[in-house]
Amino acid sequence: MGKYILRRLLMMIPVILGATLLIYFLNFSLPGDPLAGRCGDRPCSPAYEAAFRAEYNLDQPFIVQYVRYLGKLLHGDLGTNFYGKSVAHELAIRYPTTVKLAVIAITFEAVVGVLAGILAGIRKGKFIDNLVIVSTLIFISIPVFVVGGVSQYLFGLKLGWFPVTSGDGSLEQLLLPGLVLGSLSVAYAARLTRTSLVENLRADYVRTAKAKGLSTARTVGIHTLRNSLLPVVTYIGASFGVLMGGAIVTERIFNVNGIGNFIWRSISQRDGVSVVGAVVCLVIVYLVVNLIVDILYGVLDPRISHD
Amino acid sequence: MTETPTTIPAPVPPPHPESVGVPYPTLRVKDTAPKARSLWGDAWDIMRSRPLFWIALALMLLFVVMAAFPQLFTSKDPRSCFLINSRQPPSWGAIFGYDFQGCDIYARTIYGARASILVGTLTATVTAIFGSILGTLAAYFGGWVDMLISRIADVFFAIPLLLGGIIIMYSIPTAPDSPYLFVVFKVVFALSILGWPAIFRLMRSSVLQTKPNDYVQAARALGSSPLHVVGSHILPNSMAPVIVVSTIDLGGYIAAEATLSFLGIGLQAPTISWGIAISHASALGYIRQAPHMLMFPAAFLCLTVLSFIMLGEVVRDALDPKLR
Repeated sequence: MGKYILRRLLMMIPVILGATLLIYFLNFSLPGDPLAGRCGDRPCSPAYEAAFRAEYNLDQPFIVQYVRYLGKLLHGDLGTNFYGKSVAHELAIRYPTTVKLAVIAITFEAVVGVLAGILAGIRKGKFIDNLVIVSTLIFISIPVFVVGGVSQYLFGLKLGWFPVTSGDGSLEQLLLPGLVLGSLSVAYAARLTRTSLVENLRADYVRTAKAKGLSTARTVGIHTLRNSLLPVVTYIGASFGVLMGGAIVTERIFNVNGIGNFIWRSISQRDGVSVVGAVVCLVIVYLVVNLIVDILYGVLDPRISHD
Repeated sequence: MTETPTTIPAPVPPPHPESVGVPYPTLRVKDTAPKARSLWGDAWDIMRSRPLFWIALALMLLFVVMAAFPQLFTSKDPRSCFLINSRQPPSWGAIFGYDFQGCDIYARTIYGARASILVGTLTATVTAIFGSILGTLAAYFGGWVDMLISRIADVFFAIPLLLGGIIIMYSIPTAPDSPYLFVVFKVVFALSILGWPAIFRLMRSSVLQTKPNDYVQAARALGSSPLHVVGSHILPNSMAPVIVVSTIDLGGYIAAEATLSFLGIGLQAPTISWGIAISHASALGYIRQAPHMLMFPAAFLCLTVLSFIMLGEVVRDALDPKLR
């Protein structure tokens, strides 16, 4: 087990290095002015430009720039925007709201998605199965910003079931945005659970369990589900990337004061330092979450960690 | 062989085991024997009996025609707008109503198809070609080539599509007067650079499965060049999953483009696109007063995405014998 975790950690290093290198390259070394779009609609002032060039060592060779940038990232320094505010600080005061939103979305995804998938899987080919397949297909086809806009109109304005926008970020106000955020992933989780369950139900050990005379509840609930839910766990980790992209959209629509809204406002104010700093932070969080899920996968499925 | 759909290249069927060395006995026997069936021939038989396939195909063709010839659907100019009509609800004169600027929403929705279809099709094509070539190279040659390409793909794969898209779109600045195609290509570039590893992985594993087959070994033993082995034996038998996933992804890329435009960094006004229209319409005041501004472009966007995903899934179900 220890060896597996160590190997995972080592494999992560080139990916993190590569991803940050790629982002840094895209950000600073593509042809064009590196300062374009970093100071709103006006060109940057010479003082800020000089400070920016010094901060990112833009006069040095690329490799030196990158290594120094990496050093800053390790210290949690995501840059300073042209208002003179530290991006890391801006994120630090906003992340609790976004975490709450993500927890609502993931809970929704895990509970509703898995339940729907199980129902569809054990009644393969029946009405409920078709219902789940068609409804998930529809949810997969609707981009999050459409789900957001329409449900804000329908449930917020017309029916009045939920607050229309979020003010202080209480649980009640975050509920609808959280459900909207999870709507795409819940569909994928349901489909994955269904496919995985259907495949496992055909396995020999399930036939043995049935032949022993175990009840359906036990065969499905204990024997099959344990194995079927493994890919779903991995998917929930991978869905984190979709959730973070979706959070930018959802927080914008419902005016939730979290990291996503900060990114959206920075985009519309053309504050490039904040956009890139915040997104880099999200990418690193995503990589770490997936590392944890990978390790968890090794714990849940001993076959993975013993090869 | 049964007829194959025109959009999909007909693969060379794997040779019948008996046909290697032993010729078919006589022509007469062959005539009475059941028809030789290929993977795509079987799939076509299954697909054409499913109504979902025809619905998806019809919707898809409708949107493609709409993107190519918007004039067929509306005689109105989407750019001729009168503020006096601002936010008018649907009526007989304008069946989808008017937006904030007093533009006809029906005309703008029809003309908006072009951006979405163009970005979706181009991105899916670029990722399919690029991913397939690299995937085939990695799987066919193995060793350090495979190692190198796979590790590079891991890096690109690790960056979520939307987050990476935001950074790339931000890094290539667009002036307000940039030509239409430049902005479209920029979005295609951003989505392709993050989308190719998925196709690469798929193609790599698909070629790895095809490579050990006898007919491939035979072709190599007979001294065929690698190009010929790959071109006439490996590719036709390993392209199926890539075609399916690319069709499904095409829908996803259309959604991603609309999301980027919605956030204000994809296509920019004055370009007409569904993402921009939905973005303008989802300001809270407009949702309250003029929900039709949001509903119509959103419905078209969802139907387009749905048609591609549905088509891809029907083809996948037909190709996958396990699901039968």
